[in-house]
Formats: sequence, C-alpha cells, structure tokens
Amino acid sequence: MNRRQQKEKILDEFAAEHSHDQQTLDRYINLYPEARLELLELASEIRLVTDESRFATSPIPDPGGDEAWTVFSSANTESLGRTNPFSQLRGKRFAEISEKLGVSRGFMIGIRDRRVREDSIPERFLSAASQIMEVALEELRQYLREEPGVLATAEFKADKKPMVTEQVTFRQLIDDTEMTEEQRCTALGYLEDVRSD
Amino acid sequence: MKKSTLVNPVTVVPPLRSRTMKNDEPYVRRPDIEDLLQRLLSTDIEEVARRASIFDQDDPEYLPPEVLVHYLRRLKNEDGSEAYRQIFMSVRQHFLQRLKVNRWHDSGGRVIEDRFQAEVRDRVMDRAMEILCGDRMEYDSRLDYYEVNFNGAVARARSTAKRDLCEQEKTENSRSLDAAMNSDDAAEVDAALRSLQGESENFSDVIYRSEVLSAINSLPIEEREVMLMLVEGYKIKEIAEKVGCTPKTASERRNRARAKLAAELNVETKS
Repeated sequence: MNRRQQKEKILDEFAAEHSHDQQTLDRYINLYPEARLELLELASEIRLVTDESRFATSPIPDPGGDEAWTVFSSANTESLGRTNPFSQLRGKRFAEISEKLGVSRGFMIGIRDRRVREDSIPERFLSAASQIMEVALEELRQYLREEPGVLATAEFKADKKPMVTEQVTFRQLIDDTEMTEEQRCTALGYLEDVRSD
Repeated sequence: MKKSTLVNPVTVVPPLRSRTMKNDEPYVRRPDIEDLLQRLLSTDIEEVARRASIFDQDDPEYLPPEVLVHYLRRLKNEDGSEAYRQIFMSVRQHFLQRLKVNRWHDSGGRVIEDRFQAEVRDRVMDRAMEILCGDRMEYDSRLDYYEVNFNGAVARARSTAKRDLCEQEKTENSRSLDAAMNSDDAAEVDAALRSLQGESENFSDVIYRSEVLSAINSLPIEEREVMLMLVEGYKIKEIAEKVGCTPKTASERRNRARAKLAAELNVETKS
C-alpha cells in the first residue's frame, strides 16, 4: 500500500466512525499526523452533510432517477457495458471526456441521457466523442439512436407522472445548457464545421 | 412491473466484510442500525418501501439510509419489484439531500444551478451508482461504509470530489486573495467560524455554512489547516504543537486567513 492509498484508507476509516466528535478527531490526528489536513476537512464536511440532511423537507427533483434505475436494475445482466458506451465512463473519467470535447459536463449528460436527436448531432462531434471514449463510432451512434426512455422532468412533482423527455436538437441543447463562453463557442464550432462541409 | 410478495428471504442480518486498517477487524454497523435491521426481519418489503419514502428524521417510522442501502444489497434479486425500485429511488433521494445545489432563475426564467456544487453532486452520484451497480454483480466492500455511517461516507465522497475539482480548476480560478489583506472585518470572520460549530438553526444557515467552508477550502494549506483546527475547537497553542510551529506563526497564519476570509465572504455576499 503506497502513501496515497494509506491516506485514503485512513479517511475511509474516519468517515465510518460511529461518532465524529473532537475526541475521535484528536485520536486520528495523533495516530496519523500525515493526514491531519484531510482529516480536518473531512470532519467539517461530515458536520455539513449531517446538517443538510436534517433540513430535507421535500423530495429533490431527480431527473436522472429513471435512467439510473434502468442501469441499476440491469447491472446483473451480461448485456451491461456492451449496449451503453457510457456505462463505464463515470465520475472523473466522464468529466475528462467532457473536458476533452471542450463542453460542460451538463452538456455531456444531455448527450448521454439521449436528450438530443441523434440525427442533429454533428458528425465531427460524434467522431471526436467516439475517439475520446474509445468506442466504435457505430456503437455510439446506435446507442444515441435509441429511445431516451422514461425520464422524470426537472420540474417533476408528486402530482405529475414521469414522462418521456422530449428530445431536442444539438443546437437547442447548447442554448439550454449552462456553459462558459469558451465551451459554448466550442460546441457551436462542431455545428459550423458541419455546415462548411 | 411485478408486485413482490417477498417477506424477508434472510433470517439473520449478515455482517459486513470490509475490515479496518488498524485492527483488521470487520466494520460493524451502529447499534441503532443493527437493532432496527433485526426488528425489520419480520417486516415485508412493501412496508419497508413505504417507510423508505419518509424523510422526516423525527418521524418514528423513518428508516435511515444505512438501512435502505442494506436492503438494496440484500434483496438484489428483487429487481423486478416496485417496492425494490422505491427503495432504490429513496436511496438516491438521501444522496441528493446531502448534495444540495443552490438554484436560481436567470432573466429568461431558466433554472440555473451553482456550477461547482452541481459538478460535485454529479461526480458523487455517478460514483455511488457505479459502486451500487458493481455490488449487484459482486460484493463491493466500499458500500459497507454507507451501511456504517451514510453521512460520513457521503461526506467522504463529496470531499474527494471537491478536492479533485479544485485541483482541476486551480489554473482556471485566478481570483487573487492578496488584495484582501487590507480587510479588517475580523468580527464577521469569527462569526462565520462560529457558525461552523454546532448545529444550524435553519436551512439558510446550512447554505451559509457551506459557503464559509468553501471559502476556507480556497485558502493555502497552512492557513486552511489553522482555520479548520480553530473550527474544531483547538487553541492556538495546541494548533502550534500539532502543526509543528511556534504559537506566533500559528497566530500569523490565523490572521492572514482571517483577512482573506473576510474579503472572500464579503465578495460572495455582495455578488
């Protein structure tokens, strides 16, 4: 176990303590002075998370819930990973892909969740995405061509049934997604390139 | 979707498999969670699902997320039942409630989310879903932490996501705090630090605390360490001993950090 891994393990162990009072924190800091700063940060974070959970009064919109359920409920089948090229691209890896494509993570989530009509996605974007994601272009295209499935809308309320999200064009997704100016220009650039072909 | 008639397929609550580094002993659930799981053994899955949708922690029927994660793992063959789906959705809600994102409307009426918080939320959610999915195929001991202390495990994941994101954005974030050194609004900072101790009185306190913590995390390591120790109740002399510097140096770091925080919090309030 290298030093980094050991530090991660220390933090895991601290996070899983039943109590996070000063006595517990002090014990860890004395035992593992090399992880002092991370332990202090984690102690504050735990207090904040605990606090936030106490003020949960109503359900928070979960537009990705249905998609997540579909992935989760099929996670014990062999087909997982072959049909969804995004299934292994989560967390940091997913962020890296967004970054390499020059678009925001929110924009890539829109692509991943098939909120965009496949025929409106520029060839140049598909090609770049397939290379960065290390999947075959046709596999990616096939996945994006499928129905978006039942997704809860962002405005989902308890008195409103989940509905199939209406797909938008690539251009519309650019307009609807929060991005920096640089990211917006990059995204628009994929379209311009197609027009010039 | 089929309706489950399952009661409980298991008559004992299985122990966790992950082992501690220090003693190489298996992690154990909190006594209150273990006790609740034992009592739920005779409860059918629909009833568990109904109670899973209660989020008021003062409600006597409230089921903590540690219990729900346990059910997700234990009943993994029940993926066709509506009750199992409800438990899954409730677990997601517990995550989302601990990964709050500030929202507001722009001039066009569109909902805008705080970009940093949204990024952290997405990273933590993605990671959690990946582990949950993996556990369905093969026992993933990383989920044990969520059965032991859900808040601790989410905080741990959130802290990692913030750190990764900060490192990624370090070069992008060019706002200098040096100019803040002239600020003398120490009283506001002391109040902000006090706000991080104890429990919040209302939800706006939670938002404020989150901002204060973010501001502290933007400080250089040495100053951040001193401020976090002050929050934890350490005295300057104790901090100096732990950090390995003189009390004077610790005080200077505190003063520098205080000046920067004053400006940072002032900027955030006005913007």
